[in-house]
Amino acid sequence: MRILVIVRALNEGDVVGQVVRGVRRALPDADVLVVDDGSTDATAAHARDAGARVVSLPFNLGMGGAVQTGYRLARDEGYDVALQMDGDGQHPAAAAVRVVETLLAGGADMVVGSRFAGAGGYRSSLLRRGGIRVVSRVLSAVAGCTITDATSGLRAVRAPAVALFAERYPHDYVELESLLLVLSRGLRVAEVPVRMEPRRAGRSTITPARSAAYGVRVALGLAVAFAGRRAARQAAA
Amino acid sequence: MTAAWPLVMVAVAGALVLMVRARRLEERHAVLWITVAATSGVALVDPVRDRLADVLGVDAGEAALAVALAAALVLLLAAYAVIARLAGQSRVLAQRLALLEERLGTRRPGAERSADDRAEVR
Repeated sequence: MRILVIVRALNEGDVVGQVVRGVRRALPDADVLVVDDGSTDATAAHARDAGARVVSLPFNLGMGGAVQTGYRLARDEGYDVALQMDGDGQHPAAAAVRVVETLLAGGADMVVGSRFAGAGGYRSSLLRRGGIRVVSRVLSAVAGCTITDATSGLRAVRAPAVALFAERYPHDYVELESLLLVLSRGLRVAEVPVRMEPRRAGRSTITPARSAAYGVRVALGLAVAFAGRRAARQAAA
Repeated sequence: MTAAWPLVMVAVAGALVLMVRARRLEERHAVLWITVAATSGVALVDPVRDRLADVLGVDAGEAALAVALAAALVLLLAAYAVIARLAGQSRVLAQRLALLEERLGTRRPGAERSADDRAEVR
C-alpha cells in the first residue's frame, strides 16, 4: 500500500518544515510531496530539508492547480492512496493519520476530515456556523451520506479518485466542487471528525466581509457544481 | 447612413486582411470579426436599422447603439472563451514543467526563484 501525502504550500517557509516532519513521523511509510505554489520565500528549501520531495510550480496556480499537480504525480507513479493537507500547519499530523486510517479501514473512496463532526476545537462566528450548517444539510441530502464539512482541505482518496483528480480538478470552489465531482462518479465519501489547529503562521484571510463573500461563493459553487453534475450524468448516459 | 459607410466597411475588411497576413490576428478570429462587422454593418444601413428600431420599439439612434453593443459583447465573449482555454493550457504546462523538473532534478536544491524567473511570468 503506497501512500503519497500532498502538501500544498504558498509562502509557508516558517511552518512547512514542521508540517513535513510532523507527518513523516506520524506516517513513516508514506512519501511526502510538497507542491510549492510559486512561493517567493524559502518554502521549497525548508520542505526539502525536512525530507519532502518538492515540486515547484513556475508561477502561482492557486489551490486547485497546485493540488492537482500532486494528484498527477500520484497517478503517474502508481500510488494507491493520496492524502491532501495544507502546508500552513492547521491540519495536525494526528488528524491526517485519522483520515488515512479511516480510508484504509472502510470501503470509502474518499475520506474527509471534518471540523464540525464533533471533535471540537474549532470556533467560528455564528453567521459562519449557520451558513456551514445550511450547506451541510443540502449537500448531505444530495450525497446520501452525512457531510458536515464541505470545505475541509484535509482528505484522503484511493486510486480511482486519484485518477479522476489527476485528469480533472476544479479550480474555483475547490473543496466543494471536488467533493461533488467524486460523488457524481458514484464513488463513496465518508467523514471522520478531526480537531484542527488555528494557523501557525501567516494570517487567516477570514474577515466579516470575506465571510459574506464566502457565503455567496458557496451558493454559487453549489449551483456551478450541480450544473456540472447534470452535465456529467448526461455525458455518461 | 451616408455614402461614407461602404468606405468604413472596406477599411475594416482591409485592416483585418493585413493583420491576418502579418500574423497579428488568427484566421479563425478574423472570421468572427468579419462576421460581426458585416452583420452590424448591414444592421446599421438605414432601412434595416429603421426596421430594427420598429421591432425593438426604440428610435433609430438607440437601435444603432444596441447593434454596436451586441457586436462588442459577442467579440468580448469570444475573447473570454479564448482566455479560459489559454489559462487551462498554461496551467497544464506549468504542472508538467514542475513535475519534469522534479524528476530531472534540474532545479538546484534550495535555490530561490530568481528575478529572471519572476520576470518571465509577467
